[in-house]
Amino acid sequence: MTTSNERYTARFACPVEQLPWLANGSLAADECATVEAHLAGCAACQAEMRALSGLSVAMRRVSAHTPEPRAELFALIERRLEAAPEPVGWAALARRLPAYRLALRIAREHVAAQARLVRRELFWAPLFIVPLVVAMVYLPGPWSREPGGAALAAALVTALGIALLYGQRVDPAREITLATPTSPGIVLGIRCCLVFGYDLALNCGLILPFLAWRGVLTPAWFLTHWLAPLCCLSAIALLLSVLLNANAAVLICVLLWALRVYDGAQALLFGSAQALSTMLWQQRYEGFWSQGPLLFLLTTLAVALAFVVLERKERYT
Amino acid sequence: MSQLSPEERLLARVARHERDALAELYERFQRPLFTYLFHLLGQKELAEDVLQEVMVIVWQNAGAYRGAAPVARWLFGIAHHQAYKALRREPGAHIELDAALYLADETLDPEADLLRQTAHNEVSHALALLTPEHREVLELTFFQDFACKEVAAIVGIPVGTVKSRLTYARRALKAILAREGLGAEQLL
Repeated sequence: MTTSNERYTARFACPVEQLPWLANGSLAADECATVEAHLAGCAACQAEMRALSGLSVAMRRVSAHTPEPRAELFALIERRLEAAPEPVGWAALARRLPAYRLALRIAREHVAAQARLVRRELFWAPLFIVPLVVAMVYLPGPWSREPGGAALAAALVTALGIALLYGQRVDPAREITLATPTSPGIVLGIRCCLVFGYDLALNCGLILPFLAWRGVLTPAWFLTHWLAPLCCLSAIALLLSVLLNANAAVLICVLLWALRVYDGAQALLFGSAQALSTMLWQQRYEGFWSQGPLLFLLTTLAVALAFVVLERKERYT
Repeated sequence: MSQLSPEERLLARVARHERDALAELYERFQRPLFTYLFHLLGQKELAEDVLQEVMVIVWQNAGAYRGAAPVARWLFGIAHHQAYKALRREPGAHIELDAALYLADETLDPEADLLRQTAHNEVSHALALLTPEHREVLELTFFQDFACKEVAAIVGIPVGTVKSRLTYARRALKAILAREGLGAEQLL
C-alpha cells in the first residue's frame, strides 16, 4: 500500500508542467517522447491530460464562434497607411511631443510635491560650507589654504542630508507612497535629485570656481578628493538609510568620517610629533578615500542597490 | 545563408513597402490575430481598431525584424503591446466579451443560433470573467498553440511565470464554472 508521502513524491516527479504543451502539440520531439513514456504508466497524468484535452476542445469551440472582422478592414488599414506616412526625423519627434509634454508635466508635479515635503534644514545646512571656505582662504591659521578640512565637512553635510531623506519615523512622503500607486523609487529618486542636486550645485557652481580662482585647488584635485568622497559617502548614507534607518545611517557616516579626522585631531591635541606615528591602517584608509574612479564606481553600485532594496522592501512591507 | 520561411520572405517584401505583400500577410494572420485580440479585449470594434494599429506598425517596422523569432511570435508580440495599451485606455473593455458572444448570428436561423449558444456559452461566459492576463495565456496556449517559450516571449514574462499563470488561469476557470453551477469536471 502506498502512503500519501509516497504518492506525493511520485506526483512530484510527474512532468505536469509540460502537459499543456503536449496537449497543444508544441512540445519538442525529445521532450514529447519522454513525457509520453511517463504518461503511459501514470494514471494521474492521464487524468490531467484528459482534462487538458477537454479544456482545449471546449476553448476551440469558443474560438470557432468568434466573429469575423469586418470585410472592409484591410481597406481601412490601407487608408490609414496613406493618411499617415512614416514619421521620420522631426515628424516623429513632433508626433511624440504630446507624450513628452505629459511626462514633463508629471515630473514637474512630482518635484513640486517633494520640494514641499523635504525638510528646509537640508537646504540651508550646507550653506555653512561657504563661510568655512572663505575663512580658509582669507584667515591665517594652520588650516589656511588647506582645502582638505572643507572637503571633509562638505561631504559629511551632504551625506547627512541624504541619510535624512528616508527611513525616518515620521515621513509624510512615505505615507503618500503607501497610500497611492506612486513608486517609492520615484519618491526617493526625486528627493535625492533635489537635495543632492542642490549640494552639487553649491559645491561645483560656487565653491569650486571660488577656490580655483584663488588658486587653492585645481579641478582635478576637486574631482578626486572633494567630489568623489562626497558622492561615495552620500551613496553609503542612502543605502544605509534604506537598509537600516536614518539614525543608523547618520551614525555610521559620522564614524567613517571620524576615522579620517582621527589622525589630524591627534596632531592638533598632542603636537606634530604624535602625528608622525600614523598607523598603517590609517594610511590605507585615507588612501582608499583618494581613489576617485573606485569611489565613483562604489557610488553607482550603492545607489543601484539602495533602489533595488527599496522596491523590494516597500513592496513587501 | 539560412533559408527564409515563407512568412519571413513575405515580411521582407513588406519591409520594401510592397502593398500586396502586406495584403497577403494580413490574409494569412488576420484570423488568429483577430481571435486573440477579440478574446483579450472583448469588443469587436476595439479588436478591429487594434488589429489596424498592429498592421500599421508592421508596415512601418517590418525593416526592424531581424529573424530572431518566428514571424507569428513577432506579430503576436506587437498585438500584445497594442492590446494592453488599449486595455489601459479602456479598462472596462474586457467585461463585454460575454455579451458579445451572446449576440445573435444573423447567418443562422434562431434554432441553430440557440444551439450554438448552449454549446459554448458556458466556457465563454467563464472566460469573460477571467482577468485579461489569465485569458491571454489560455488563449495563446490552447487557441494559438504556441510553445511555452513563445508565450513567454510574446507576453514578456519568464517561462516559469507562464506555467504558474496557466495553472492559476485553469484554477480560476474551474472556480467560475463551479460557482455558476456549470459542468467543470469534464474540463478541468
